[in-house]
Amino acid sequence: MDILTKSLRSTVFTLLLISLVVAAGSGITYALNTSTQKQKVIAGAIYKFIKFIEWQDGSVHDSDSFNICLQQYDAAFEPFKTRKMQGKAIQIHLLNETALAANCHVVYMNHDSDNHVDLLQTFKNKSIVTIASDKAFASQGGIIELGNHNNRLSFAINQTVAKANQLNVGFQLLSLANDVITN
Amino acid sequence: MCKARRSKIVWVNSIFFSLAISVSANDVEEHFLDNSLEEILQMPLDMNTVNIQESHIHKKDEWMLGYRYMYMDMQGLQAGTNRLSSDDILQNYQIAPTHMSMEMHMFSLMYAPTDDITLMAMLPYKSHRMTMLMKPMNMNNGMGTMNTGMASSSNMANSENQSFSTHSEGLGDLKIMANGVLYRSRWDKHIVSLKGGLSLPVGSINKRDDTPMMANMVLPYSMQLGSGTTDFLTGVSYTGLSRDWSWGTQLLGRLHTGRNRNHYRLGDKLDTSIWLSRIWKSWISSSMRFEGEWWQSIHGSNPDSDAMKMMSPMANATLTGGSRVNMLLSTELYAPQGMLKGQHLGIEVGFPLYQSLKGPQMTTDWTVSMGWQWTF
Repeated sequence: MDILTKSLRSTVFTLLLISLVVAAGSGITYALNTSTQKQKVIAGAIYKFIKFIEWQDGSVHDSDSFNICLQQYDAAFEPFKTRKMQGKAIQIHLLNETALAANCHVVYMNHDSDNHVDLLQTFKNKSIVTIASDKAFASQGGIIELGNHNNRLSFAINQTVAKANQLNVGFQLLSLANDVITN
Repeated sequence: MCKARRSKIVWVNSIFFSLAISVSANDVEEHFLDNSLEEILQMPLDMNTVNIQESHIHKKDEWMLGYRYMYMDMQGLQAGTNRLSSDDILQNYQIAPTHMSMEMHMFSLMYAPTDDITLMAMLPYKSHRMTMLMKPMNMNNGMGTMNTGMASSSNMANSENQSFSTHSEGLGDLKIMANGVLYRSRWDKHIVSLKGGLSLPVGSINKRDDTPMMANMVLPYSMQLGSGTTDFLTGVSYTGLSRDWSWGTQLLGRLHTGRNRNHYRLGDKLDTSIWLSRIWKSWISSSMRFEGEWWQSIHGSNPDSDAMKMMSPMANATLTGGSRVNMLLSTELYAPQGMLKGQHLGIEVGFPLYQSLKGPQMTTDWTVSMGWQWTF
């Protein structure tokens, strides 16, 4: 009886372990080309941010497409490719294609680096919405700084830089920002 | 393990992975482009771990309802780091425990009155079962007078050891805690929080059951469901976050006060955890956790148990301290939207890597827990 009990116990335990490993394994395999909840929330927020911004220099109007540039591939932006923004089909580009940099309407610096100040200089005085999650990104001249407060996305907007670069940020977006830099 | 419990674990396990498959299948088209910005800003960025609830920090006015099932399997005995057989125990005692299972259904409720303070209440329902071997009584040694003829639970032949089991079940102690943010870095990449609270003596310390020796006999300390004292809970935790990883550590102490109605106080306990979690997708994460536990022996003793301590090591209050290091692996699922929006499911399996027990005490073999929580 004792042998039988031990056998059953080890069977159940093995079943649990196999299940755990299979679940983790399938999750890892599936995750290689997909995105996390955080990436999807950020992508969704950026999609909405853009809707509240007006490019006053006519760069969107004059372009054949609406260009969003990423520092590195992010699967969460894949659904953008089937959407339109301000009447133009959205195209996703990688920033390493430097020739395209000047045509970006939005640049999301999504590489895991805490300092994008040098890269930010490339877009200085251009009508491009720069977005990153670096500490003090907005106060260093970026336009939208992403953050996390109690496990929810928060953001700060540098309204001064936006205005200087002929970007009109809607009041709806400003009212949802955690911080608006206006000096 | 009894058939009912085995089938229960397999059943819960099946539901868990069926849900995983269904959430996975729905994930192909998942995005938040059609949600409003206000809705997106309310979505959690990462999963709060189901398994270490005391570390949770919720946003202002957020509620969390949780349920967690935990099972601990204990097989055999140990003194220090040495394993002991039942025969070893029966050389010195009349009774040797051989197997113990501890089940717990933990219900929890959390509320955050501010972004920096989360209040929580946790109430367990426990079910303990212990199987023991009793060697045949020598009717000339005086013990015979204790036999009240409980033959119905007996498998005993006069010359063989008799196996029997006891069972206790009911509410455990109610924990009420507050977790307050002591420090948070910009964008919550690093959070240090302090926690404090009370454990109120809801659980019984007078559980009894019939044994071959005596009807309605007081059960050992480990079979009781509560501490019988009002206890202080205190701790500190740190959590860190990067894009795809989260990690943390927590130190939690339980300080028992005074003596309960049965003239004893459980030993103070220190529990520490360190964990690393990888967020693979919006609906799945996995974690590895190391947990260290250290607990003192009981102070004082229950006079009813003292009468039995020469017969069974489980009735000896001085043989209750110890330390243990566990490794735990877990997988957690989360539904970011849809019908199950805001709900988490988690499963965690643990094994002791090291345990040293002031024993003889029962040895922990493995643990499993499955949790559900709903944030709203």
